Formats: sequence, C-alpha cells, structure tokens
Amino acid sequence: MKDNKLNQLSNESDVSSPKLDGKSTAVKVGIDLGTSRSAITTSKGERMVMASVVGWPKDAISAKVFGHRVLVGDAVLENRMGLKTCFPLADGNLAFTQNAGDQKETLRKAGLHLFTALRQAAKAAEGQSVHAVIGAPAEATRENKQAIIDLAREAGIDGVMVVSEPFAVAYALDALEDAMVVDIGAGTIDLCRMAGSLPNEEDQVTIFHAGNHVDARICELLREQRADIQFSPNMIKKAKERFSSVVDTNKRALVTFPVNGRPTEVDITEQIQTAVGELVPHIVDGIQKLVSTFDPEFQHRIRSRVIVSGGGSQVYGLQEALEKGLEDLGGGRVMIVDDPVFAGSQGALKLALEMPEEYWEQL
Amino acid sequence: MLGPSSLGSSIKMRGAQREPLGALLPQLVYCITIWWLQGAPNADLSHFSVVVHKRDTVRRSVPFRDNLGGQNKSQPPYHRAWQLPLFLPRSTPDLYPIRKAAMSAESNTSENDRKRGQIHNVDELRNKGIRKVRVVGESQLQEMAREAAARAILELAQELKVSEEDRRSLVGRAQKQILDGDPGPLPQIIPNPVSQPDAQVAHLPNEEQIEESPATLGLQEQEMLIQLSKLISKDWRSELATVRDSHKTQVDRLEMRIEELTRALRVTDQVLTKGGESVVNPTSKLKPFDNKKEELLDQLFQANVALREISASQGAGSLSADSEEGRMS
Repeated sequence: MKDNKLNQLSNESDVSSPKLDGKSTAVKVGIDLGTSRSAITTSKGERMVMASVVGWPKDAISAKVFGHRVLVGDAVLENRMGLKTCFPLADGNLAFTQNAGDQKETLRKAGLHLFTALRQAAKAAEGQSVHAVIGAPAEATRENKQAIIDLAREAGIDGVMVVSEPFAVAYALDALEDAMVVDIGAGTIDLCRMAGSLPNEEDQVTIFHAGNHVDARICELLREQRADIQFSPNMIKKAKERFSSVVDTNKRALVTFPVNGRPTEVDITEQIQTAVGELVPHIVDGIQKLVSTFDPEFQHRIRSRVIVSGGGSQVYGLQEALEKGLEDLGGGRVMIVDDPVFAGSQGALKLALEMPEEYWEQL
Repeated sequence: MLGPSSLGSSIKMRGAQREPLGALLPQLVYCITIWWLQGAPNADLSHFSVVVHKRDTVRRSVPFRDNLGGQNKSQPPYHRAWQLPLFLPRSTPDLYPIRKAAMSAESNTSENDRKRGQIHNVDELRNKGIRKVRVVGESQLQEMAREAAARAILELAQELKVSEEDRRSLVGRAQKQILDGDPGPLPQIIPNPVSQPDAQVAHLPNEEQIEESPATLGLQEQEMLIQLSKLISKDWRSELATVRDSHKTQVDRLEMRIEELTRALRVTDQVLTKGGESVVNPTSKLKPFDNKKEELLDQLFQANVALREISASQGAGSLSADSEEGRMS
C-alpha cells in the first residue's frame, strides 16, 4: 500500500522520492525520554537504556582521567565524584525550558549531549539519517515538545516526532481502544485513556508525585527515624528499586548504610512501604478522573483494562493495591506490562516504523 | 510395461518357460514390489502394471532390496518370497496369522467360491498336449499373494519417514486388510493401460517350452494378481492421498491468507486513492482497527507539523528581532 503511494508520489516533481537503497534508508528509533533513565530501541534491533544524566570533569586532572570532555549516562553516576553532574530533565520535561541565565544554558547543553548520546546509540552508518519518535510526558507543555524537537534536530536526528509516552505504550501493546495506560516514571506518572483516537488533553493526566518523590519521601522518613544514618539519594533509589513493595511480606529491606563511618545493616522496610504506598491513592485518583469524564456507557471498559508500565510498575503488590483502590469505582482489572523499561520506546519505534515514509520526508 | 489384463495373456503365451505357476506368482509379486520401490510414489496407480521377466533375466538384472545387509543379494527374488517368514523382522507385527487365517478360510470355502475356479477335463488337457499338470490350490495362491503383499507393505513401511507409532498403525491396517480379505471400495483399475506391452516380453515366449496349459490356472492367477495389485495400490493410494491432502491443506491455507492480504491491500489502496474517504468493501475481512491506526498516524503527524510550524514562526520572529538589534548596534 505504502509502496503504491510512494510510486505515485515519486512521479510528482515537487515531492522527493524516499531513498530506499540499503545504506541511505533512515534508521528508525523509538526513544523514551525519561527523567531518570532514557531508553532507545532501534530498527536495527538495538536496545539500550541509559541514565539521563550528563557530567563534565571538575578539573583538568579528572578530564585527563576520564579522557572525555563530557560523559553521558551511567558512567556519570559511577564517576560522579570527579564530575559536575547535570540532569537535563526535571519532572519529565527538559529542565532548561523552566530556567534562565547560565543554568538554562548548562541544562540546554546537557540536553543536547543526552540527545547526541541517544543518536549515537542508534548506530546509524555514516551519512545515514535517523528518524525518531520521542515519548514525552502526557501533559508536556507545547514549549517542552518544541524544545525536544529542536534539541533532537540539533543533535543530528533528521526526523523527529513527539508523542505522549503512555500513548506510545498503548501503541506498543495495540491497546488503542477501551484501555487506560498508567506509566509510572521517576518524574511523572502519566495516565492516558485510549478510545481509538489520538489522545487529547482531556484524555490524559500527569501526576508529579512519582518515583523521585518516593525517593525524597524515604529520605525524609529515614532522617526522621534514624538521624545517625548516612546515605545519598542514589543509595535510597537503589534500595527502593530493589525492595519496593506496597504489601506486607516476610522479605525485609535490609540495607547497609554507614553509621558514623561504620557499615551497618538497617531495616528500611517500613519506610519504603510507606513512601511507595503513598503513590497508590494518587494513581487511583488519576484513574477515577479519567474514568468519570469518559462516556458513561463505556466507563467499565477502560476500568477493566488498566495497563501499568514504567519502572514504577515493578513495585511488589501494586497490581493488587490498584485493583483494591478501583473497587470503590466499581472494580477494575489491572495489568502490568512484561517489559516496563522498553515498552515506551518499543511503542515509539513501532510508530516510527509504521509512519508513512512521505511523512518523514516532509519533516 | 504390461497391464494386469495383458499380464495373464503373457503368461499364457509362454513367457513362463515351463515354470509351474505357483513358482511364477511370487516372482510376479516381487516384480510388482520392485516396481513400487523404484518409482511408485510418483506413479499413476490407475495404470498399475508390471514387467514379466524370465527367471534368469530377473536373477541377473533386477536389483532388489533386503534387510539382511546384502547377504542375500545373489539370491533370486522368488527365493526371498518363498522364505518370507524367515526374513520378517522381530519388531514387525506377526504375519503368521495371515497364513493361519488363509488356511482356515480354505477349509470354510463356500460352494460359490469353489465355482469360481474352472474345472477342466484331464483328457481335454492331454489332447492339447499337456502332459504334466501341477495343481495349485486357490488358498495356496492366496496365501502366497498375501505374504508377498505383506512383505511389500512391511518393506515400504520401513522406508517411510514416519514415527514408529504411525508405522505400526499403517502396518496394522494393512495386516487387517490382508487378513480380512475385503479390500473395500477399490480404486478403478484401468484394464487397458495406456502403456504398451514391453516389446521384449512380447518376444520372450517360446511355444516349444510349454509344458502345461496356463489357460485355466492363468485366469485364476490373473484374478489373484488383479486382487493383489488392487490391495497394494489401494493401500498406497490411501497413503499418497494422505500426503497429498496434507500438502493441499497447507497450500489452501496459504492461498486463503494471500487472498485475505490482497483484499486488505486493495481496500486500503482504495481508501488512500479516494482521499481518505472510507470506501470499505463490505466483503473485506479487515480488522476494525486497521483504518483507525492510519488515522492515528496521520493525526500524530499533523500534530507534529503544527508544533513545528509554531516553532518555526517563533524562530523567524526572534531572528528578525535579532537582526534588528544587529542593525541597531
């Protein structure tokens, strides 16, 4: 079908025919641009997830040690003692759009480096163009979407489209009708109801009480209860990712923290459970908001197909907790995606691949 | 090649070289088997036919297969047929019941069955110059034919690339057919096959070598051979039919799928060429969401184009402002 149309178009003088030879055909990529981590899936079969962080050597010595002027991804977290680190995204948006002055420029550069690293991860051949569909938060501002497009193009990505992250997840799962997607990330929790059309603002909700907020809450609780413990946000994040649960289990979250310089095993089960459990009411509220504003005849349909993705979906017992929360709305069925880290980028890649080539040419 | 109908006449004519017909029959059966082994899978069984060789010719030129590691390759095939029970593999179903059943069937032969044989006056035969007559009973012929058929089926079953269970089932069915003696609805055997009789065979007969008149027993033999050919051909026809059916099913399924895809492509082409008008063929089997996906992609593209246009207009605005500033400085 597409080929037919392309053949028709290639006869028209004002439309360039797509390059279909193997070398020059564009690499299609799907990117889940996350506050904490960004995932990329390419049409070449590559998959990669990297920390959304950029680091610059603090001085000439560290620059010599690292051998690079800029570091991007997990290497930054591993070597952060010798680096000035910068997270280019905050609350799901490119942070520079909300800042001014030198900080804005630094954040912008960090964002540019992140996109450059993602483009390199696509492993495009010399001269080969890259077409990307990039997932953004459900309620991302127009300015933020424009900033994503601009930075991506500046980083050498030839064709860019921005799409709502939960919509990308829904597209990956072919859940484009009678479904609701909840994408629990670090910066935001994005909810989107799918009714067979491109979701508009009314169909989406973004909650800013997400993974990073949970980390902060655990830190707060620990400081309140164990003032002698020394920890960093990254340590808490790792502990949360390993032990997060919203139900009582026999498994205890025993984490080793320094106490006055001495490694000490501390049970933080209660703190993690409390902080993570606070997510559930927010998510249920978001679902209720989207359900209640939906066509009353079909509300039960989207309620009975709630799909949870993102890193936060791996919280132990979340499925049951959400279903329990939905009981007040008349009950519902919650499903957790199999591949929460790459579900968004895979959906974005699917969109990129299925998007007609002439659309890419126009972009 | 000779057809079953012409087979009898060849025998009658002197091709058997004074052989008693009882000894000739296994040879014929073996030839049928060899013919099957050498090319039967692609053959049209309606033209089932057999080459009749002299014993010496068979001994020298006709290759045959055995399961004895080549030990008996120098043996003439009719020996193999006679020694059949000795060669039966241990793992194969017991074929002795065939012999027993055939014998018991002989003792219970009805009068009608007896009438099927032809009665000849000995004087008449003597008048025709026949001095030695060897009487071969119908049951003996049947027994030999069934043994040969069983052997052929066993050998062919061994060569089939099927599981042991399927092989046992196949052999079991064949054994049942042979024991029952009721071939059921049989495929039509063309009495006059298209293939002409083998010229060599036609020239083989020699009148001086005739010791007996095959006229009477020849008919019986012919009948038996036809039955035998029917038996073997039926079994292999069913196997061939099974294989053909499975292939046909796959091909049918593939064709159906291609047809579905072609129809879907045609419909989407129609939609595209008519500028998005939903001209959907009611007979098409498109999924309800196939068109919606295209709409979604189009909407997404339009949204991004709009976003880009806004960005471009803002960029142009700021660029003009910058240039103004530049002029001012």
